[in-house]
Amino acid sequence: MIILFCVTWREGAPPLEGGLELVEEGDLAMVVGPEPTTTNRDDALVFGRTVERIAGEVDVLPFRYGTTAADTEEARGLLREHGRGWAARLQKVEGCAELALRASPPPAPQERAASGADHLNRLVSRSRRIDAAEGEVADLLTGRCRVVRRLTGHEELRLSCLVERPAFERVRSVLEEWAGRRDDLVVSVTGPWAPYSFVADGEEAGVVL
Amino acid sequence: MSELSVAADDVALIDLLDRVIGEGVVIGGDIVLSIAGVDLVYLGLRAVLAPAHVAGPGAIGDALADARGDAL
Repeated sequence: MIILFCVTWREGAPPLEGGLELVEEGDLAMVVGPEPTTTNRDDALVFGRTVERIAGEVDVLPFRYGTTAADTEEARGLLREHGRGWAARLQKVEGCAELALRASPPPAPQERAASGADHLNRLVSRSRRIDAAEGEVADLLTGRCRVVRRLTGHEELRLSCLVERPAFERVRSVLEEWAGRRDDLVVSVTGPWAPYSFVADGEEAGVVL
Repeated sequence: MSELSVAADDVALIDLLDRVIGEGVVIGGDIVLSIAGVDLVYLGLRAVLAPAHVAGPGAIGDALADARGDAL
């Protein structure tokens, strides 16, 4: 078995090392490597860092960790089967990297709420601060990102931003300056990452700011 | 900011793992993600395997703790 790292353009594909191999088909190429013999977090990190190293040189569509194929022939078959869609997605992320932003109020104090109403008020206050933060960040990002996705289902503001690489550090600076003014929030800005959040089916659900 | 603040490097580590495990190209709906014969979907430690925003509150701390450990 081999593990699939990412898809990139055949032309300009970077030289590989460390057991990695390039599987080519049409205009595309796939970076593959030996499947890890263990399942642990370090393996996942090695996978991620490998993809990041390649993404630092060329545009890529990273695979989700754990995507495997029987051999390089099967990988080539996947390129034939999905090539058109993957090429279209590569064009969408061309020249871009992903920036990740998290913002949330500091953890609530541990003392018990005085009442049910007090507890609800705390939750409402926290939610309002997150909503307000989203509005401020949306204003800051307008015109600066190709696509912004808000990840839902958690108690913090989490955004994935598809940013053109030449503008990346400027966008980071804008957000970090904003974070410096918001001492009522815990904010983190990380990246550049390979465009993990903008390559799967359904990424069109992201909000363009 | 607080005693629970997470170092920048640790946040970056979590963000990378979130993406590696929870985002990226998935081929079809029937492909089971697995490594070394272990089905990633069915491993019990969701806080470790799932992205923090899926695993819910507390997952970041759990993920961070596990990120410093060895096994999933």
